This record gives sequence, structure tokens and C-alpha cells, in this order.
Amino acid sequence: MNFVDNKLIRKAKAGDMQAFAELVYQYKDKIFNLAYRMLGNTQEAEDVSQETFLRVYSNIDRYDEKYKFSTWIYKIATNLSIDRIRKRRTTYSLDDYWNEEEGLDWYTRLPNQSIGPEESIISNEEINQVHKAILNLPEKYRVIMTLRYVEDLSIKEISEIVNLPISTVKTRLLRGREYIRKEISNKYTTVDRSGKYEMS
Amino acid sequence: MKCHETESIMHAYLDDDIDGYPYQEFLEHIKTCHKCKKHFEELKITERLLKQLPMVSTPPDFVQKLMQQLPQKESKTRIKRWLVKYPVVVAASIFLLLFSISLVTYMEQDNELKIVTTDQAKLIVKGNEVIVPEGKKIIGDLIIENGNLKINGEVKGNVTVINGDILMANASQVDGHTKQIDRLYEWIWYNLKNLWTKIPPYFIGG
Ligand SMILES: [Zn+2]
Repeated sequence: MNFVDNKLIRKAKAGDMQAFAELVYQYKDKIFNLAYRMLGNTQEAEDVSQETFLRVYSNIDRYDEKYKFSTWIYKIATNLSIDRIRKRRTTYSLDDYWNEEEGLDWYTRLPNQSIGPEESIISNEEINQVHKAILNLPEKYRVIMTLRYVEDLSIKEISEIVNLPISTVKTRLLRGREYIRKEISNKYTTVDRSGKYEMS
Repeated sequence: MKCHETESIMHAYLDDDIDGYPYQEFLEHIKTCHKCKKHFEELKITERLLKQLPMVSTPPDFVQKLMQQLPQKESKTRIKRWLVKYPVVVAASIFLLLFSISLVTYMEQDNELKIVTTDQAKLIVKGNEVIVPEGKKIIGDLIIENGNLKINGEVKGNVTVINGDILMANASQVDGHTKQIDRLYEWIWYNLKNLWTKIPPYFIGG
């Protein structure tokens, strides 16, 4: 349990704007990155992140300190991201969405300036591939993969955020990783592509 | 071990959770099975790439945009309901409460510098002088107690200085009212006025 959070939250509950602003500073990058990997573009990521903090602000009275604050805010952010994906999809049929590998018009290129040259152990091309592969996952897998790899959360915390048993989280991680593995290795090798990987 | 049994072990390995899995047997299997060995290698590369996905930077005006969008707290609407039901009683008790609180605070306060703002990070504090630096914009009201305020930048909101002076090059640097309060009776008057401007629609029967 994070004591700094709890102290801030108590102040924010009492209407202390400074404390609320502090919470925003602590979580804005985490929430923005989560939304960005879920949605694939910075504009929607910003909208969803703003909405997340607005919800935190207006519902802070209902936040129960028995749970971690991070679990609560991630719950809000993932739900809003999924809502956004579903709304957007009303214009696409589900098959189009899943079969189309390229040409999903909400892809944006990654801002290259976000990584310095000395940190780029992973090439821009690889980043882009992984980024796209995550966005190609159905959202129930995408959520799990994003929480695990972008937010670096434990399987236990993920299971609390998405309200699913640990075994289900593990299964979805397995399928998500397998999908991304196949996407990546298909790009480099031409060996036995025995058909499209099936998600269920 | 059969090939189809290896996948769950590979993932358990990535989740750092191989207890209960025949991991040694799996290691033996991939010594001789090229297909499973390749699968495992690819998975480890995938895991490494996923973990190295860089953080993207949040737009620089994110917090400012957010703070401007914040709605009024819900508790205020609760107070409103009360006010509509029992206007006189509520107004009188709020008045007495606020009045005594502010008087007590005034009497008890030391001469410590106090700053109330949602944008504190942008302010510079030197001794008992608070500076809004050139090129910085403070969003929201700013209250300084027991100190001087020097505005080189801009304030988008009301400025109140209690027991101190306001220094600025021109009035356009503040996008709201400025108030300077020096003595006890003015402090009380200030709180009274504040109270009136918050209550009137209910108190005066609006
Ligand atoms: Zn095998």
C-alpha cells in the first residue's frame, strides 16, 4: 500500500486542489502511456487520459482506501479505453477489424524523440512492429498485455484491475504473447506459416 | 515430453512461475527438439521486445488543460440543497462558523508565509517574497499571506495578498481582481464580503 498516495487522496477528498494536482503529476504518464498503447494514437490517448482524471476527481469520495489507488485509477482508464475502442468500431465490422493487418487508419507513427540514442536497444522498426501487433489484439487481450508490459504490473494486480481470476489473466497473457511472437517472427522468417493464429 | 505440452511451460517460465511444472524435463526436450527450442527462443525475444517498449511523452499542457476542465465539487450542490431548505439557519450558522474560524486563525497565526494556489510549482519563493517569474502563467486564484508578491509573469485569476504588498509592472498581468489586506478589521471585512458573495442568491431569497 502506498502511503504517499493515501495521504494525498485524503487531502484531495477534502477538496485540496494542490493534492489532487500532485496525484495527477504522479499518474499522468502512466495513464497516458496505457491509453496510447490501447488506442494507438496520441489524440485519443489524451482524451481518454483527461477523462480518467476527471472521473477520479468527481468520484474521489467513492474511492475505497481498502484497495490500492493505482488499481482504481487503472480500472477507470482501461474501461474508458475499451469503451472508446468499441464506440469507434461501430463503423467497422468485427471481421474487418481483426483480419485487416495493415491500413487501420488510427495508426500513428511513434514519436521518435521519446527515446534517446543510447537507450534504443530496440530499433524503431521493432518498436513499431510490437506496437502494431498489440493494437491488432482484441481488446480483452490488449488490456492484459498493456497492463503487463507498458505498466509493468504484477499478474495479481492485473487480475484485480480487470476483475478476473489469475488463471484467466495468465491464459490471456499466453495468447497475447503467442500472437505477438508469430507477428514478429513472420516478419523475419518465411518458415512454416501454417495459417492464421486463432484467438478464442 | 510431447511437443504440445511445452508451450504452457515456456509461458510459466516467462511469468517466473515454473513451480509445479516439469521444467527439467522441458529443458531436456528442447535439447533435441528443434521446433520447441525455436519456439522458446522466439518467445524470449518477444518478451524482451515487449519489456523494452519505450514510454511516450505526455503532452506538456496536459495538467493545465485538465485543471481548467475540473467541474465544481459535488459537495457544493449538497450545500445548495440545504440552503434552499433552511436558508436562514444555514446562512447564520455558516456565517458564525466562518467568522469564528477566520478570527481564531487570525489570532493564532504566526507570521509564517502562506501560499494558496493550484500552480505552486511555477512560483519562486525568496524569504518572504513570492515571485511569479517572467514567462510563467499561474492558472487559478492566488492567495499570499504574510509576504510580498512580485508579478513578473501573469496570473489568470484573482490575487489576494494579506499582510504584504503586490508589486507588478502593469495591471494587465492579472486577469482577475487584486486585493491587498493589511489590518485585522480589513481581514474581517474581507471574510464578510467573501461570505456575502457566496451566499446572496439564497440568503436574499433568489
Ligand atoms: Zn518439441
